[in-house]
Amino acid sequence: MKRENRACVLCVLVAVFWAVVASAADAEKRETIDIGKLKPMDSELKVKVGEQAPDFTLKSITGKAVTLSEFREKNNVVISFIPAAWAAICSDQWSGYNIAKDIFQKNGAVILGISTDNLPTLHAWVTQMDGLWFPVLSDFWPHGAVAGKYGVLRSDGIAERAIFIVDKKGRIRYIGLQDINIRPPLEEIVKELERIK
Amino acid sequence: MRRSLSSAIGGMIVLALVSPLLRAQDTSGDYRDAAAALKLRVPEDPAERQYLGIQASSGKITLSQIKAEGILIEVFSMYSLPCQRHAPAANKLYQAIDSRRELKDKIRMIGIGMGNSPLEVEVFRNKYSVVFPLFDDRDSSIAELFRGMRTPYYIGLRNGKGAEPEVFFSKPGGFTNAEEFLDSFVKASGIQSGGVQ
Repeated sequence: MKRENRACVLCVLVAVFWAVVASAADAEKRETIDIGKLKPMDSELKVKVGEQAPDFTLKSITGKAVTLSEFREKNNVVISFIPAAWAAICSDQWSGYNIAKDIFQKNGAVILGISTDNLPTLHAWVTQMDGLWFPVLSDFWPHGAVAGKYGVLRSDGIAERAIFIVDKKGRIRYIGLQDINIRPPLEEIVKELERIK
Repeated sequence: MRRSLSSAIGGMIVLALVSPLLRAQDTSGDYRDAAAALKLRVPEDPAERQYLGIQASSGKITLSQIKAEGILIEVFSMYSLPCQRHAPAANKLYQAIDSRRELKDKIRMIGIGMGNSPLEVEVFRNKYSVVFPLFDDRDSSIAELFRGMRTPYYIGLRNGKGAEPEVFFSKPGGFTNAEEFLDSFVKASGIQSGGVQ
């Protein structure tokens, strides 16, 4: 091999090495993905405040099946649909709810977190968050069936960022459906829980 | 010809070696102007107003109204998992300042919940038993000012040179050793060596 060629090969190897080192360092810093700005809403709501909440059974990341009507007469239920595991806003939203456990419990409420991601993905994501106190349910198959029943399944297969508060009688008391790119205000959820406690 | 090829290859090698280092450089200058323009809501708690030496009991204050030679700001978000994980270290930093006789009356530490409502800041304060004053960002003006900032983020300001405090320290990310972090803050501020330089 000519001297110039050897130098060229060396140069490429060094560049590749440093690129790998730099990207690994960046990856360490970022545990979530910025999925960019999405169309604010892309579905049509199929339920209304005052109606009975459609019942459902979904598998949680612990392997246990969770049914909405199990909480009838026991707890108010905050159903939190999120678009995608590992997405920055979703990670923030549920990490925040994780440290607000006392507020939810004080108001006799449980959270059911729902995503259309599959169970292994949700499990890996929640494990990276050091766990969450509330059940995380997968609406992966039939894909987005529960999100579809509530009218929050978007055309690309992910759910809207939506909150439904269901009282102890199983009625929908609050629907927080807003821009998918924005975190729902905690104040509004707590205010509604305090009202129906 | 051969000489120029060698020079080009040499240049590429240098570039390959240096580029990751350039990428890893601190971008601390980015928020200095924003930090100097900060306005904070006067704390409701009289003990916090006393700690900060604030005379006003309502409205907003600038950082120059805080009676201290050095002001250490942690910008956080209740929703940020890195901030949640970092909260005990931030408390240790406050304790480290409080335990050093020569610094206790010279440095004031505050936290700003970027984009956080009063309730969200309260959740964070209670969860991690934060003892230093935390400010909310109910109108999102601080989030607007610090757009794109990744939390936790530390800012250090020094009062005394002019009408406005000087930002001398601006660092993304947290730390593992509170004492070492405080040492670097103090060294950069010049406070320990006989007050403001």
